[in-house]
Parts: sequence; structure tokens; C-alpha cells
Amino acid sequence: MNKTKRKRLPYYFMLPSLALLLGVYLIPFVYSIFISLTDWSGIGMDMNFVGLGNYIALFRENHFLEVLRNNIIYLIELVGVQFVVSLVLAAVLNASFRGRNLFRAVYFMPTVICTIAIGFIWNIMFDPINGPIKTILESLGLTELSKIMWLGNTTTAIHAVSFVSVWQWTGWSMVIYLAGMQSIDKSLYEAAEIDGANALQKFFRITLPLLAPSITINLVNSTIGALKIFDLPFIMTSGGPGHATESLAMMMYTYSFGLDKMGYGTAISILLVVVILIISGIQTVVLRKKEDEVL
Amino acid sequence: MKDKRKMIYFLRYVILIIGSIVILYPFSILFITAFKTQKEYLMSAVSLPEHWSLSNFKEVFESTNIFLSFFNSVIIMVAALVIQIFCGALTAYALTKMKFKKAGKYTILFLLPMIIPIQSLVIPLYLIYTKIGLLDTRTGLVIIYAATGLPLVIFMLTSFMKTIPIQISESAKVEGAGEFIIFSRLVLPLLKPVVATITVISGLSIWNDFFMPMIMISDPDKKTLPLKIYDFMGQYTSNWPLICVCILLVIIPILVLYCFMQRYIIDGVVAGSVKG
Repeated sequence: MNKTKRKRLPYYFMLPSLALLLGVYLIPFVYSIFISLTDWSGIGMDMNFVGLGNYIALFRENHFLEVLRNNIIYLIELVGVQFVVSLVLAAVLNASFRGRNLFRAVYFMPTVICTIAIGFIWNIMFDPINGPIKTILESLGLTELSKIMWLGNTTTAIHAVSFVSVWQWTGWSMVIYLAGMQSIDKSLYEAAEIDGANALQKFFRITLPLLAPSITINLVNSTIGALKIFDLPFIMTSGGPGHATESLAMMMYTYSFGLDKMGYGTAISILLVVVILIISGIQTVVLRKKEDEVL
Repeated sequence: MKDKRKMIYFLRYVILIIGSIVILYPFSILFITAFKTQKEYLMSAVSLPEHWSLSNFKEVFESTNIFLSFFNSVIIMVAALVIQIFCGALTAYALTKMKFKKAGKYTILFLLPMIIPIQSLVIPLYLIYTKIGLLDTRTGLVIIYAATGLPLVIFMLTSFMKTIPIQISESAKVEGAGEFIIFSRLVLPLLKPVVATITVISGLSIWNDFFMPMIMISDPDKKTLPLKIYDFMGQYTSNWPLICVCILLVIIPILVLYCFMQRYIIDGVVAGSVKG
């Protein structure tokens, strides 16, 4: 084998991967930036360059601002609630007792099932006529609460969808926290016990700081998940009532494929990427810094 | 002290059992609803069916070809995984075992797509696919899935290959074997544990994806399982027991698999996430 051939060999090995990523990521990304600067409908050749017109128009539109607000609510609830619940469950599971693996398997189960199915199951649960949640609340004597149409009014719908998403994904973060907790050196706890630390002190002074890497992974994951949320509100409420549960990804979908405004739709998708980059970028930097302080 | 221990022990089980009920109860509602008649469901969603009859299942099997969708899902997932692992392993081998200057830069380059959600590229992909005739094909989906999982696969394989001692490749080279032969005969078989992890993480996300097939596939014969459920919901808006049957049929295989392999699946998810 001659020398130039040898030099090229690594590139031949990487060629299939490079081709795939070029075709599915780079070309579409450049293409979508281009479309977002036009007023193209998606059909025909009629296409005018409008510069940043689509982006400016978006921020002037109440619909978009409402959807943006919804995504912020999803972000806060999915990331925050899931963080607390999964951490508590992991702490409770982090001991040796009978049935531990069984509980872990049960909590993780919803994550292996497709979100479409989960959404429909919860639509039955929330059924306002005779659904299980209504029936349970009635039998507990909470008649006022049982009359609420959880998915049917603008104040509760988004929180109900958030709840289901947390219900589905808590097990995922939990197993990562649990694995992190199990890698913590037991002697640290023994030393703390000798110093007279109680369970809460041990949790906040030892467990939590040493979990920093797992916390970073989970927070970044659930942030991205919350920002691109689509399946669950799409199935449970189709974004309604009104636009109360609509997410950015759903709005992008409706504009591009329902309303034939490709330029507008791609502008939303580019904004979605930018928001994800900024937020997860900040998170990674801040959390990594915290990790370094601890370790 | 002993009382306190007992209390904690007791409290732990109370919390865990309440949590398990919250997780399992909705599934039990799905299960009983699948056996009810429409009339029974309208009377009460929580009561048990009067007869455990399979007539709903019969109706679903007669009205839709769920096996075809199952086949589509399997084919698409397997093909995408094979491409991912093959391309990923080649790349990881080049990055770790073939000495070239820009290896470090390329390693970062391959990770970049991880931060872009594929949903945001669906419009240009749709337009490109329309032009080159990949719209409404299984191949089109396979290509997208192969690419979306690739960065994580490359990352996991690179970190694993770094742990394989380089001497293997060096000594084989002395004997005159070409790089591709070394790669396929010596390196590929060593990758089994990572391949298992990749199959779990990447496979699950492909299997459960709804967004891509919804945009790309309209031919009923090419639909995947999540899309089938969605179609069924549109077709039987008023008959929820039938939709429950459809969902049950879709999730039973994965639940059975999960029951037997939960330890490996959970370990795979942890391994993949912690490294990624």
C-alpha cells in the first residue's frame, strides 16, 4: 500500500458516517435557514426573499407568544417536578431491602412504552364524564374537584399534560440518580455518622453534591425533552383548548403542513434549535462548574 | 432506635407502594377497558367487564392489519441499528486506532448533531425526500433514524475502543492484514457489550418514535406501530374499548420483553446516558 492511500484510509472509514450526517443534518439545516428567510408556501415556485421578516412577524403575533409561554411552563414543570420526584424515589430505593428491583422496574416501565399509547391511556383517566380520576375524587367526597374537566379548561390543561409527561419520564431520571448514588463511597456516610450527622444532613451534604454529574445529565435531558415536546399534547389535547397546551414543535407542524406557510414554520424550527442551544449550553456550563467545585 | 428503624422500613414500603399504584393503575384501566363493550365503558370506566370476551380483539384483527405494522417497525428498527453500528464502528475505529492528525477535531465534529433535535429539521427533510423519491418509503425512515442515533453511537464506541489495547491491531498489521480485515475480524466481535447498550437505547427511541413516520409515511402498508395507533384513534373516535385493544396489542410485545430483560434494559440506559 502506498503512502497517499494510507493517509486517506481513515477518511474512507469515516465516509459512511460523514455522508449520513451531511445528508440528514447539515444540508437540511442550511436549507431550512434559507427557507425561513422566504415567504414560501411549500407548494409551487412562488418564493420571495423576506429577510428576517418571518422572525419579526412571529414575535408580533399573540399566538406565538402564547405558545412560547406554554413551552416555558412545560420547561419549568417537566424539569423541576421530575427532578424532585425522581430524586426522592431514588433516595428511597437506595438501600437494600426486599423487592427493590421490582419497584425499580415498575417505575421505569412507562418509559419503554410509546408516548402515543401513554397519552391515550391518560385521556381515559381524565375522561370528564365517568373517568377513573373523576370517580376516585367522587368516592373520596371531593365533589368540587371531581367536577373539574382537567383537559378541557385553559387553566388546568397544560398542567395535566405536564403531569403525564413527568409520570412517564420520572423513572428514567430515577435510575440514573440511583446508579449515581450507588457509586458513592459508603465510608463517607460512616464517617458522617460518627460525627453525628442525621439522615437529612447526610443527604444534602454528601449525596446531593456527589450526584452532580447525574444531575447535569438529567437536567439537560429533561430540558431538551420539554422544549421539543410534541407527542403528548398532540394526542391528549391537540394543543387545545384554544392554544392552551400548544408547544413550539406543534406550532411548527401546523404552520408548515396544515397552513402551508413553510417559511413561517421553518422560522419557528430554527428558533427552537436556537432556544435549545442557548438553554442547554448555559446549563452545561453552569452545572459543569458546580461539578468542578465539588470534585 | 429500633422503633425508628422499623418506622423507616415501614414508611419506605408505603411510599413505594403508593408510587407503584400511581404507575400501574392506568395500565389496569387500559387492560379492563379492552375487554368491555362500548356500552359498559360508557356506564363506568372503573368497573370490571361483565364478560371477559375477546370479541373486541376479533374486531380489531378483522379491521386492521396490525401484524404488517409490527413487521414494518421491526424491519425499520433493525435496519437502522445495523447501519448505525456498522458506520459508527468504522468511524470509531478510524478515530481511535488509525493515527491521523485531525482525529481530535473529527471526534468533536461527530458529536455536534447531538444538540440539534431532528424534529426541527423535518420540513427540509420532507422537501428533500419529496424531490428524491424517498417520501413514503421505509428506506427514507431508516436513513433518518440511522443518522439521528449515529452521534451517540460513535461516542459510545469511541470511548469503548479506547479501552481495547492497541497491540491487537499492531501485531495483526505486522502479519500483513489490511485495516479492514483487522477491523472486521478482530475489532467488531469485541464490541458486543456496547452493541447491546446501543440496541437498547437507540432501539427504544426508534421503536417508539411517532413524529417522523407521521410526517413521512402515508401508505397504510408502510405504517409503523405508533402511527397505527394514531390512525386507529382517528378511525374509532367514539369506540374507546377498540382503541384500547389496539394499544394493548402494540405494547404487549415490548412489555413482555421488558419483564424478562428489565435489568439489562435499565443497565443499558444508565450506561448510555452516563457516557452520553
